Amino acid sequence: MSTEQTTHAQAAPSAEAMIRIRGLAKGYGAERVLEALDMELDAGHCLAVLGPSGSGKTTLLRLLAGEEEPDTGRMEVDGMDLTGLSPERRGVVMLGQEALLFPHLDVFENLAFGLRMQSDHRGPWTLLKRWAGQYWRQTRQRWSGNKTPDLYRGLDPEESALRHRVQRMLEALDLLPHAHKSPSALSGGQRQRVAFGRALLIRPKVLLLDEPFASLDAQTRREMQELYRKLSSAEATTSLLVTHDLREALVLGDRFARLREGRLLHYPDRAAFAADPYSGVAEEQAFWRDALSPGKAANPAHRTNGPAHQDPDQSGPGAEPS
Amino acid sequence: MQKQKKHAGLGWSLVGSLLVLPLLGLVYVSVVEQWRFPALFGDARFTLRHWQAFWNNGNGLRGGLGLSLLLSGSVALSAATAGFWMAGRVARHPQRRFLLGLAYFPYLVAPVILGVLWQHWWVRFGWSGTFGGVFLAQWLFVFPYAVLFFAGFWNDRFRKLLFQARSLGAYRRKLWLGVVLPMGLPWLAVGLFQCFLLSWFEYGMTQLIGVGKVPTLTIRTVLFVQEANPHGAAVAGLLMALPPLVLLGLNRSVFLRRVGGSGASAIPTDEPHAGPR
Amino acid sequence: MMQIRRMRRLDPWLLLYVAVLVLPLLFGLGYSLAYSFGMIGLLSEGFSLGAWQRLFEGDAADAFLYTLALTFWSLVLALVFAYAASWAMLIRPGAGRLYPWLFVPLTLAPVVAAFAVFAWLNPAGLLSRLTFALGVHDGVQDFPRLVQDAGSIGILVVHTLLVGPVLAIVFRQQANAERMPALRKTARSLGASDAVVFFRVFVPAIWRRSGAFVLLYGVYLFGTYEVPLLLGRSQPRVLTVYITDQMTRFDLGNLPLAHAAASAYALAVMILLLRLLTRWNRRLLQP
Repeated sequence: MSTEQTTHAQAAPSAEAMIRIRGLAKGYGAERVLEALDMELDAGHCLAVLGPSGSGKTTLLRLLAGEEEPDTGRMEVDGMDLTGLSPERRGVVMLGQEALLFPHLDVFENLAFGLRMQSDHRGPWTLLKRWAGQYWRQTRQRWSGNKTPDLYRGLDPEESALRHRVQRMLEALDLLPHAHKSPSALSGGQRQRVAFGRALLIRPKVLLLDEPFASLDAQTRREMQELYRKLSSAEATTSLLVTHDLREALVLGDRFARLREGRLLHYPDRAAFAADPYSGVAEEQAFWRDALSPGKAANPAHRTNGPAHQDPDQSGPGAEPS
Repeated sequence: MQKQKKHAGLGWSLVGSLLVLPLLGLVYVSVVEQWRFPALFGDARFTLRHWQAFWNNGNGLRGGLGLSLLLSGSVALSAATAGFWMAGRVARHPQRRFLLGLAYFPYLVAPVILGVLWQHWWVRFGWSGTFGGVFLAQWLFVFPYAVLFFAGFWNDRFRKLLFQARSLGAYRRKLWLGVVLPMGLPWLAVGLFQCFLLSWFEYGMTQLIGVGKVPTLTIRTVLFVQEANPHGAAVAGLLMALPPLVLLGLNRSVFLRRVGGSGASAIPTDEPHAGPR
Repeated sequence: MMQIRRMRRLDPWLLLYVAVLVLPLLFGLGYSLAYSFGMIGLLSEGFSLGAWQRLFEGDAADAFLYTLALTFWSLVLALVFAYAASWAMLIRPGAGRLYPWLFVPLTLAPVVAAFAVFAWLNPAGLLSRLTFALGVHDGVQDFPRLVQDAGSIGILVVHTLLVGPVLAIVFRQQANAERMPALRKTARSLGASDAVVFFRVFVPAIWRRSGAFVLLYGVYLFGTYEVPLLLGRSQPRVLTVYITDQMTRFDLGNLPLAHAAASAYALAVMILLLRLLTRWNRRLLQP
């Protein structure tokens, strides 16, 4: 991959950029994590960001989400300056390895949470009634053993519409039979599905994914990647994915970048990403070619030295995008 | 084999029931009179006179009970709610360890010594010997306990959960009504009870700051002992043990630091109180 | 490029929080220190180290040493009780039945526990009557002195009763958190006896998790007041009883000494606490 390619992609301004970052810098004490970082991402795309541990990937996401404030720089989402904007006004949702479901709410109410926060302008009494009602429903369900209670009986139109949306999401997530279970009764994959559903239901401007499937087993991880791809493309979600997993980056991402020394280096397309030795694609191909060639046993040790785990500075001079 | 296990269990229950002996002793002393050595059962006269005296407020115990309930209730309610809210602010601050560490100091210096250190100022401001003065003095060491207790609720995981709720659009009021209060209510209940006990059990500081003019149940108990009236002291002692015993009967988790099912605790195990007392 | 680094604003509520925690202590300690150095007070004659010198001799020094010894032995007995009970609950079938009973002493105020133990252990108390009825002794004069005694047995019993069960509950919880049954099984399969598992695995593993908590109880016991007041002898007295005695005497000349002892106690606790907080930082200050 050439230097020109990388810098060209970085400089290209886009009129319809959903995320626009200029000169972003963040440090902790003497340690500089991000240094004059520039970035643009168009609406409906997923940018997969790779980088070694400690390169500042998560910091970038936390700054966008509003969990931390940058030292200098400007961030915009959908043309809106994020400076000093509280997290609830940003339209940016972050998902990490942990699903972070609300333990006092069942699956249905967890999914409905964001919608309620956006639509509900009623007072504490309504919330209290709903909270009590939910406990009552759960208890009744426990007594009757009924898995799919009637969700719509005697509701006002706004509430009815909300429930329809949540139910559609439950169906899409294949979680309908679990609607009234407590989050603690779900498996790791199911919990992660609820977290995704909850975030997608409010149609956030940007979804930030911080290695969201890293804690799942290989099979569940693949299912989740597929599910996420399907749902996010249906909703045309703009997302920023941070991962160590090459396969995940390739399945979910349609834009690719690498964080190095506090700066983001963009690849212009999938082919350029695959061609960079740093991405590990070539290494992976070589491994499988080697492992599957007749009469040759795969040596697992070969993989542990793969470039994806290597310090980028040791990848060789030809591998370096500047 | 099963029978043997059952017998072993029974044996251990018997060992455990030894811990109830102090309370049983109090019950016994509260219902006997003419209790000269070596009278035990046969020679002692059983009576409800001491309890009637309490009921008729003949010995000032009923007033003491009301005063204690009012004092401990108000201290607990105000310190626990303030502590809950303040622990949240402390937990969000970058210097939270330092701020939390400060709370250990007034809480762990013996209240009676705090009473000694503060006595002059209380006299000077005219608070000594008043309900308000005792309330303030007790509040000043119950509040730090409440902050330490609720710091367990506002842990790292809960802060992440709050941030998630905010990024899903929950602003301040909804955050409190939709997440903080529903998740914190079990914690608040336990914290409230433990703050109540701190104040309910306190003697030394109340005696020094109250100078005998705020006769709570603990003060009455010691007065009865000093007057060589063991029966009155036993009634007073049992009255003091009553609220915690009722709560223990209902749910012993109120004595534990973590609340089951709340899912928000930094310490992975249940610990009674954030510290002693 | 816009500069968006912002100064972190001082939170007035947190300032109030710090003030509420620190100022009363500072004012109280400041007054007591000034009094103890003779700088204020009715009989003040200017700066003097007299009260502080008297701290290191006679009754005051006795009170300090007695309090230290009482704290040490109370803590040792409570620890023995707690380790024994939690270990029994781990290895003995049916010993789990002990657990609910451990909560009962938590309902007792120190004053009440002291009086209840007094009712049981005094020479004319319940135990004496029971043993007399059984023919064990011939009367009050034969019954050993167990309260207000030279060995402070009554105080130690109450302290063990109040602190032991709490520690036992904590230790049991910690043993479960450490997966102690599985660890014991592993150690046994590696050839260790139960005694070895107890001393080499159980005791250190529980201490690692609960040491801070136990030491906080040590600080608490160092400041105990009601129990020695009711069950202790007039000589020696614990520090807290000694200080309040000096404070409430008619002889105003004792006040500087009382203030010196109170300041010394408060400073000692604070220094100890500071040490605990730095040593056990993670356990005590992790919200």
